Amino acid sequence: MKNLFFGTNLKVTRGGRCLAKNLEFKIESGGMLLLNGENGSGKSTLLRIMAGLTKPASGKICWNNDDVLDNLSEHFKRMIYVGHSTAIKSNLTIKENLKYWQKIHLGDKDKRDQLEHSLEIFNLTTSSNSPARCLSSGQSRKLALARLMLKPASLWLLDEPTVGLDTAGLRSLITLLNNHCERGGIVVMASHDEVRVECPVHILKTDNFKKG
Amino acid sequence: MKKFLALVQRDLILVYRSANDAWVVLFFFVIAVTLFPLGIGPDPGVLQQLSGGIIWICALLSAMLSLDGVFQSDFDDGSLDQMILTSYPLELLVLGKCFVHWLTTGFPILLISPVLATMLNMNLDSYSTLLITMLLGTPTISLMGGVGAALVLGSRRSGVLISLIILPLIIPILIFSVAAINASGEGVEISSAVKLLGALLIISSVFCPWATAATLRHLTN
Repeated sequence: MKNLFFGTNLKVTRGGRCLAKNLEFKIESGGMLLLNGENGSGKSTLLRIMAGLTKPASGKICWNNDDVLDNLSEHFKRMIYVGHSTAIKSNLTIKENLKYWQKIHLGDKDKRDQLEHSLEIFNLTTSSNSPARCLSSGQSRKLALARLMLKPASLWLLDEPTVGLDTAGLRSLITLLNNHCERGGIVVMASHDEVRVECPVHILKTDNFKKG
Repeated sequence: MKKFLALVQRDLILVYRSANDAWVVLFFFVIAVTLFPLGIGPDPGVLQQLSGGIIWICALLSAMLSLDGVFQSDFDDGSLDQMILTSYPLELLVLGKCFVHWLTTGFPILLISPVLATMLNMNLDSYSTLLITMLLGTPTISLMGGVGAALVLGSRRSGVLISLIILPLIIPILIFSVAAINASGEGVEISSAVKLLGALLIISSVFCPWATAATLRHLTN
């Protein structure tokens, strides 16, 4: 089924300051929207607006012609948001962190083999029983991204996912992105790095919508 | 229900692994109560009269000590965002966090209060009332404290600020509990005070998670 994720007439504000106005975007199943722009131009805030965590000062975000804010619960079910903060508890082990995330998002339907597989993809199996506070920042980023494999979702919202990743991690991420888009999923990613994926990529420069 | 239990389990493990925080509250309670006989003299009559008030005031202050941490770490590391993004009522997750707070602060205070009551020469008839008021009052403190904790997220000196915000709400618990304890010591009927405490608990368990969740959503906005 083809999905369409779009936003119209969006005004992005942070701390009372307007970062971008009349912002528009449109992305279809199997495609990726890359958010580019200067630091502070509102990429992270825009991702939060797309996730439904923040309400836009004006404008709306729609999934297949339904305003996302009308049914946030449905929107949350269809998406995974990996923000700048990794949401990792340093006193839990890597496995416990993933298990908790799986249970809190899926409830009854947690699947052990998917968890093992996600650890393998990001090369975290050997340290899976170590506390998360022992992880380097690159490994923490990998752990945050491992969640992408734990829940079936049509929409992925990723904020600077490549920060700190080594070559193998970057390769794993690109594989995941390609598979996701092949299955008809949509990715919106804020990144300064070039990510060579096989799916069609549209670029949105948030600077172009700067006020004034 | 599984999601609620997942959160409770995670938070209990986190509290257990950072054991320092949980013990601080209990030690403070014990030390604070112990200071009173030392400060106001060992006269058993005076201590007995004041025992209910002393224990309850110290319990209140101790329970409020750890409130500023309830949501802070989740807010700082992005876990709060992920909690909002589960399509599960945030109110129930908040209830889970308040329950863990009570289990690790109010409940130990409840368990140790009879021991401290003996040190203050509390009237034997008042012990059961003490436990009943603790059982009804300490969860209410955790629930109301959740609202305060959410309101001060991200600000400095949050510990003091929480106390200022929720102290007016918590004072009725103090008044009714001490009234019930003193009344049972004199053999007077206590059911009305206990019923009021029960009512406060029921109202808080409905209203407070709702208010806390609304505040948290607004803050992550």
